[in-house]
Amino acid sequence: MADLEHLSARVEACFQRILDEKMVGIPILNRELGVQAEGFHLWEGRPLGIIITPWLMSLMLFPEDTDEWDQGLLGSRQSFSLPARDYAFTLNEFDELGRCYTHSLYSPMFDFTDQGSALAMAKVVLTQIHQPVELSQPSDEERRIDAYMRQQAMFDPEPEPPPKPSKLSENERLSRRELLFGALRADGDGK
Amino acid sequence: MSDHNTLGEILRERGVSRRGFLKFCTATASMMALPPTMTMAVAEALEKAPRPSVIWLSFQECTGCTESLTRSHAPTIESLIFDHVSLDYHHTLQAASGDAAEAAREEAMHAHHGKYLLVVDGSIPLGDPGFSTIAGISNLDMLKETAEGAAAIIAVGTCAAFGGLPHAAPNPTGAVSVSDIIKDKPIVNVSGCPPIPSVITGVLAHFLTFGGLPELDQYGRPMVFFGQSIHDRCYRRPFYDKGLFAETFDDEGARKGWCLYRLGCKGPMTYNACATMKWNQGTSWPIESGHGCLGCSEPDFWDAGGFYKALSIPTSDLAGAIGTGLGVGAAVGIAAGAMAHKKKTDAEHEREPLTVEQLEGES
Repeated sequence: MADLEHLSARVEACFQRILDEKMVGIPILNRELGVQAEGFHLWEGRPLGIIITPWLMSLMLFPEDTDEWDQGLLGSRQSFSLPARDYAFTLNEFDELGRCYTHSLYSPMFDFTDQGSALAMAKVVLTQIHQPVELSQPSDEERRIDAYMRQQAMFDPEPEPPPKPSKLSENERLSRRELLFGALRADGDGK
Repeated sequence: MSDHNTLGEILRERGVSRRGFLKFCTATASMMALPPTMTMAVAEALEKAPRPSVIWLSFQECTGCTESLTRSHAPTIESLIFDHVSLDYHHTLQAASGDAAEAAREEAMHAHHGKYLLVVDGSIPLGDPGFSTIAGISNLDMLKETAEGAAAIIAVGTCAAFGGLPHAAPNPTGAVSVSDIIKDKPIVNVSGCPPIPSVITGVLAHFLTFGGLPELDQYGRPMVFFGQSIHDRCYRRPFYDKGLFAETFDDEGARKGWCLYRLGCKGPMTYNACATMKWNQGTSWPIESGHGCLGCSEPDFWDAGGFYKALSIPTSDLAGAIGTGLGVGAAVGIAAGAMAHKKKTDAEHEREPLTVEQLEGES
């Protein structure tokens, strides 16, 4: 824990120095924002967190002891499988921090009006990346395409969506019909 | 070539391996955000697809788009797809001229009414029809007439997609884009000056497979190619992150490959696939050759304030709409809803751009 807090402080100090020394007069800075490290935690033994600065918001992944990241080409990409999906990270290097992998979330940062909105987004991302995406049923659109490819000629100019292949239960069909006919309206007659 | 040849037959004739073809189909499936299990279905559909009729109209343009496409490296699936379409009218490439050329266009329009693909490059002048005519027909009339029976329209290049260079201030011809005129047809914008050939091929393959167009961004561009900024995919990105910028084109930073933002690179505001697809057989791309991105795939890039001036605003005036396609306010608002999280994650997943290797099915 103490290590992660220490790392978080080092990350902030590093980007604060970059802001003070290297970013003078750069028009891409969002002056409403400051440097802030958020949510550094261990993921499969490696410290992972987010850095917010006036010019970027990125995921940062640091090596564990057994990692040898010194040989790779700076700027090369590697995919890491987080629970949500695979994320392509870029091999990066900072004077004070050594080598790490970064994944750009936002840059430039003009979408954010203040530090609070940037921080809120960082927290959303930190939650998202650890949420496994359910391999749920294909969407209606996917089922429609599937049916289309199996049953109809390619160049029907107005391909009528064929009946969905059965995954909807009778109840769901009814509820959709009911919805279309306004069954959910409280007064039952529109306005 | 017979009209009855299918793509499958043609690919086999040209010695394209089954494996290479399936890999191409996997990329096409991923373009539709379909699960990998549907690759076979895609392959089946693509193999059986008849040759679609394509009518290609060139309006106020420089022929750079056609140059780009005809320079696509052969022999690849890319070029085979172009062999595979029945290019019934293209006034630069067709053999016929004069009355015979126009007759070919009209014949294709009638024979394939409702089914042909219309490809347009160049912008349309509204100022005076006389600024640009073909066979005495104004661009506006020809576009309307030809679009009427088209199944879909592909606006190739920034001129057709957004007005482009002719549209730049003071826009002497009153140039507009295809989508400014045609409102009742599916239009996909493949912007770029010129656009990347593989992107056109990808859109064509998609149409051959599904009879429809891929998922588009807010500018009508295919998400799979235009979903991420140049900046987020740039190999020079680590230098930007730590504030190392080249100040001139021959200083130490330029030699060391530092970020070109201060020299006017529009990578942070530009959405295109150059960083992953690259150009000339995947050899290189503008930033790799030492020059900043001009932002040529964005609306109004020509008027964005100078190619060599570091900008603080997006090249178009649609700040905030770029990027995630999801406003920050909205995204933070959904922090409470797990379903919404999943949706955004899916959307991000779909935006992972294809690489040239994936699309060509090599290696």
